Amino acid sequence: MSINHIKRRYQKDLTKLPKIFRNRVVKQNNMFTLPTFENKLPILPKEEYKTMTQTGYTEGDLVYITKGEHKGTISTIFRYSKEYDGLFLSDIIEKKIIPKDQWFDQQDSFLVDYPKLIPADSVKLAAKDKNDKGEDYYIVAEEVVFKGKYYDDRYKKWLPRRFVKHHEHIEVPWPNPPTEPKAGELSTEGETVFEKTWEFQSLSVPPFPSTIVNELRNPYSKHKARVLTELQARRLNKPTMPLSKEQQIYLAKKQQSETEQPTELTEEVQDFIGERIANHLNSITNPHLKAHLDALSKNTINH
Amino acid sequence: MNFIRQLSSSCRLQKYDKYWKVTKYVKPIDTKVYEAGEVISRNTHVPKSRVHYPEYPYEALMFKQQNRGLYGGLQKKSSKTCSEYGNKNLRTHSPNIVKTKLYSEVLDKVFQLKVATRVLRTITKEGGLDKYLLKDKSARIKTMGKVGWRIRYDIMKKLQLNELNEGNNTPNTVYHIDNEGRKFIVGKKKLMNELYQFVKSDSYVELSFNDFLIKYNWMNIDEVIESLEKHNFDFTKFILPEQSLEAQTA
Repeated sequence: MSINHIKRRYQKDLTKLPKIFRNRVVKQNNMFTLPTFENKLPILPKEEYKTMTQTGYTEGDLVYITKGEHKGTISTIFRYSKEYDGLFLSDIIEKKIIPKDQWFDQQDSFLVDYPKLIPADSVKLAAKDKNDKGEDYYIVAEEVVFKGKYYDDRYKKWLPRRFVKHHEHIEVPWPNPPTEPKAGELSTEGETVFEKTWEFQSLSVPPFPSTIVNELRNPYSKHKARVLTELQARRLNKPTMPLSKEQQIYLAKKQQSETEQPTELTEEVQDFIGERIANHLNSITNPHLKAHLDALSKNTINH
Repeated sequence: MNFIRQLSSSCRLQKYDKYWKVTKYVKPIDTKVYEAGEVISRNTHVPKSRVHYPEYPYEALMFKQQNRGLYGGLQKKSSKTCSEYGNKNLRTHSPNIVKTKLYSEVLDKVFQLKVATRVLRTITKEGGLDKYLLKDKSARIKTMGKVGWRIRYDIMKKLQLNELNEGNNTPNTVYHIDNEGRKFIVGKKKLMNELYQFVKSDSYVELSFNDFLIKYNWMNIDEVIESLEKHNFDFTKFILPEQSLEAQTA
């Protein structure tokens, strides 16, 4: 276990605390910070961190502020803070007080310009374009949708295409990245990947030993379907309680009665029902009811 | 009076379950028939060996000692004790359980069991353990418990075996009758020993008896007979000769 792992036990993790205790801890932390450097946005747990494809914007994009004192201004994103889900914009600056012992070189005032953290929900994505006359105009997207994918050489990765929702003919391209992605110690250059270093010698002899499949692919993977073998199926099938003689007789009788049940009326039954109805109709003495029944019998409308 | 009783019973909307205490916490049993090649979920547990007894549909999940004896659906009851000062405390009344030996006539075996005294009365009324367990009423099946269910299965199997041996006066017992009506006087184990010789000679690699059992022991007796027939095996040693049957009838 590394020292970093052990250190985490003694660090205060706000995300593990219930929400009602978080404010108290934030207050304790802010006790010795200067009032202008206090941060009132809550810290998000790691699971709720958003990527650039989830927020819909990234550093270098234009945004339109919809709430607060800077409402209505358009500015570019300087930095996105995933911990607070907030944005530092290039033009939105506030003055902060710094005590003299914390002054940096060539500072001559207690007040310092500092970028203001703006919550992400008070910001919409904006874009700049030119009309036919060559004049600049801005559009603001209420929501963004992603469609398709393309390889962006500036970011060195696959990115989805951005469109304005309900106006999907308007594409908002991704901005240039602020810094070019650098190659790390372990990264390989693109050209060396495509160099051919090995080729098949024979089709009849397999190039790898047969046992290598289990080394490359996890045979116990949870994504692999569990298919029953004959032995397993027999083990899963438990024996059933044999039927007693009374039960066998009962079931046989039940099956017999089910098969014998008539589905259509026989002629005898039809005659019997007809006779009963005729007798009942003949026994009616009320003249009004008779007239009504006569009228009904003449009715030829098919319902 | 009877007429009124009929009316009142017919008017009742919900039927009163006498054994609600038993059925309240019942877990549904798995009745699915599994087949080879079927895809199952990761949660299905495959037992490590063959299960010998059928699952009891009314296995108790509360007051679990009733799974280990014949309790007749009796469970703990609770009441309040009251002190002179008027303080009330809950106490429990456990059913009257005794440890006894019960004899099964069919199995010719004595079972030492924990039995409720009320159940002992019912057993004497029914006329023995076998008759108590073989009754088909749903109430009896709900209350006989897991142990009773297992003994019932043993008794039923023994009765089936007795039925096979009806009219058989030879010292050999018949264990199985196949589709052609041949009466087998050996079980699956001895037939497997015979099958091993054929499978061993057929296989290209060396096959030990243990490996053979691991591969083919899942087969039931009918399947073993079928595969022996494919090798033109002579069954005369293992079958009850028909002459002896004819002699008996004569």
